[in-house]
Amino acid sequence: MLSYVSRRIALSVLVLWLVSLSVFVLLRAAPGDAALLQGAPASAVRYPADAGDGDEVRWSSVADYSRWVSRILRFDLGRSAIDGARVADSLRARSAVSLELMVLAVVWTCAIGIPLGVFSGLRAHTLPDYLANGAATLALGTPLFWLATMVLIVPQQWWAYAPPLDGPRSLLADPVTNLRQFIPASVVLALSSTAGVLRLTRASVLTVLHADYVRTAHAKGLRTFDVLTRHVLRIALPPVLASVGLLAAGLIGGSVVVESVFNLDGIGDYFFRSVMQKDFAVAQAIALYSAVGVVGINLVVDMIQIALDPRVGRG
Amino acid sequence: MSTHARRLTALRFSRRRLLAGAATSLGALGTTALLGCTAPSPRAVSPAPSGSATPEPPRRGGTFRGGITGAFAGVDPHTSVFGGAGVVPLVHTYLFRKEVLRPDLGLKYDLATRHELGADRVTWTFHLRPDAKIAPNTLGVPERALDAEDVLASFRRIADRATGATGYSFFNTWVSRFDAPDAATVRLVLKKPYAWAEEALGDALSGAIVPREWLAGSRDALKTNAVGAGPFALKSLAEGREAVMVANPNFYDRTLPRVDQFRIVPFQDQVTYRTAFASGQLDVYFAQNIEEARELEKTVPRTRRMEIQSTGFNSFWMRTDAPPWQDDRVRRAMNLSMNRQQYIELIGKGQGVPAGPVPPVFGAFALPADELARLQPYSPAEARRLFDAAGVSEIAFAHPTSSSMPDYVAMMSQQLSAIGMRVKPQPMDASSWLAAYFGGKLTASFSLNQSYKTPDAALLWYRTGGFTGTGAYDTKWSKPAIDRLIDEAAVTLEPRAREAAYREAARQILAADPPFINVFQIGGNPLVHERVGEYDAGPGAMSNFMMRYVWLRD
Repeated sequence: MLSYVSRRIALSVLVLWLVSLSVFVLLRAAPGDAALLQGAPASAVRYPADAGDGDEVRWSSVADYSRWVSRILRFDLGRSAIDGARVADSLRARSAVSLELMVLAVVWTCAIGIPLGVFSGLRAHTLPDYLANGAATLALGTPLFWLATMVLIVPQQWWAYAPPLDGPRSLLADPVTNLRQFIPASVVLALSSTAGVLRLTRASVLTVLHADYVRTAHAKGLRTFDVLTRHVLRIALPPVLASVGLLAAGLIGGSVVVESVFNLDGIGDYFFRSVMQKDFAVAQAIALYSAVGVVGINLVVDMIQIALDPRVGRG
Repeated sequence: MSTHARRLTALRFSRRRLLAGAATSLGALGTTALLGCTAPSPRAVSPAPSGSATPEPPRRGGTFRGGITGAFAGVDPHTSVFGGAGVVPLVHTYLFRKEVLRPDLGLKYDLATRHELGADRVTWTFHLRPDAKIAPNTLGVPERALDAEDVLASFRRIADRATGATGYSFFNTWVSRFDAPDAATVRLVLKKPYAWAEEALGDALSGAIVPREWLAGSRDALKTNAVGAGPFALKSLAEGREAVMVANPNFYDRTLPRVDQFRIVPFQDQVTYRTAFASGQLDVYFAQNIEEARELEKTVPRTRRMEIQSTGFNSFWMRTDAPPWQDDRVRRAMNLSMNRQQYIELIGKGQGVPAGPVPPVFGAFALPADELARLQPYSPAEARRLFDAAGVSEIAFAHPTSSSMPDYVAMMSQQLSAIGMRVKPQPMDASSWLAAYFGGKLTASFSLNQSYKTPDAALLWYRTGGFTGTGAYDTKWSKPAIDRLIDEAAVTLEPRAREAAYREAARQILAADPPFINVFQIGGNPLVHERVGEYDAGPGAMSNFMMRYVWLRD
């Protein structure tokens, strides 16, 4: 198991290096400049030759990449070319927003997707199953940006209600306003993942339900509840839980849209703006930050899977 | 009407467009609102709440809530051009404020109490007030009165090319020197008489007077915070979240500002911005077009709608050292093929006016509408004849995909196709387009243009060396006679003669088949909640100066 874990960690480091390289190169592949995009007068646009060592200019050489990586390793993320703020400070302020949004989205995903999936699997090919499956298909096919916009517009048009849109409030300082902001946003963000988990759980439960040992358990006279909890879910749920771990990447992507529409100034919204504004220091830091998060979560999920099924580690 | 034109009449919000538009610095409506790119004579369409003949006495207190689309992008007093440019005029003082767009307001003294122009017509002397005290702050700047040394320090920073100040070109082109005979007097000497000197010094983005101790700090500090002697003090600035300003207790006029707090919230999405206003979370909203404004006026209770002209407009840019644009006939044909009335009806929803070299927003400096229509007619048959004569059957041009640009491109494509031309638009994302446009890598493009503060700025497109004078965005068009006309207009100090000089320059430009064609001047449509009193929706950045008078009814 130790060698497996070592291999996984080494692979994670390799992935992060590749991510850092691709982020650095790809961001610079597109033309544009932060100063230009701010509509700055021509005299304000600075190029590397006369701009010194600032973060606000386009770096392009291998030495520049090395310098950036060495700074990252020292936890120095640089400064934003747009507002001059330290990137680390900006990320810290926004992390709480994104984290709350994602935690809530994962909670909705598990709390709704798994029970409904189990129910749908147990009631396969009945009306409730068709309804649950149909709803899941609809949710998977609904564009996130459209749904988020509708969740904002429809209540406003019908009942003159909209969640507070004037920036995120702290959960500790103003919990009521915070939940009014984050519940609709997280529900929208969780919709697609909930549908995915529902379908995966249903398929997993159905597969296990037809296994010989389940039939044997029934034949031995065990109660249905015991068969379900001791034999079916115990086998059916680990792959589902593993997939929940993998949802992180999707949620980060979805948060770009949701944070933008609900005006929650989180990491996703900040990333979107930084890419559009060619704010390299910010975009690079967030891309790397997200990659570390996704790789880390997957590493943890792998460890959990090994704990649940030691054969995984032996492979 | 063609199928496409019919589709345009039924334009609805596309989120992709909205997001792209919001994320693009140029042309964002929120910025237009904050930079105040709007024209004279704002017209209140809905009645004001107070129906009595007696003016309602203003109340003090409360928080005014505004919004922008896009980013603040810092609050540097001399380089901010985006959302931060809406904060700068509120926290800093100016010698005075003046805009050609607001003849109704005239010149408003601020740090200066009076000024005069010497007999040589190049020496300006400004006399400063003794009580413009710096706001309380935790940034180590003493709470003292601003004096001549602060003015000189600010001028020096603006005049330094390395700063990249918005007001740099004025100092670089026109200013010879400046000094301070005493602590309450500043003298500025021009190289030659310049008609727009007051407008340049009184401009919100060019003339902020900042405490010298604060200017001595780092560039990053200047971007992330602000200390000044304006009516408000910046309490907090969080990019992407909010800017909060509180009333400056040291402000020289103790009766102002009337609100305790001014909060600006940035929105990435126009729909979110609109919903926030419609649900009562904002006090003012700048609608995307008149249809949206009318709908909101009907559906949102206690809302007043105004109609104002905007100085923001889109244009067609051609580089005259590249085929086919070096041919005068092709440029003339492009102008003749443009049915500006159709643009106004379908894109402006009926709101707007055709634009010539000097935008109509500048009033008497621009050509009258009937004369402009004669000099810049819609003549598809003549356009076709000129294209044929030049042997041109295909028109290729680049354009950014942001904001409302795809609508303009569709309209131009339809109008050119109608006269038998093949059209090849080349869409580019905003950053790629801007880099190519700035670097002179395009041969023709539809372009998003910033608003111009003076007719002089609008005509720089037609001057040798281009708009910036540095070669950026240059059409390579060079007509010494036109250059002379533009320069002569800029140094004509007598107002009526100057107006005539600009009109004549515009006539000569149009006669010379210009490489830069303005389409039309769209309208601005602000909506204001009735709780707000004395809100000045526009025009220009003077609306920021007028924020000190805003008050709230509840």
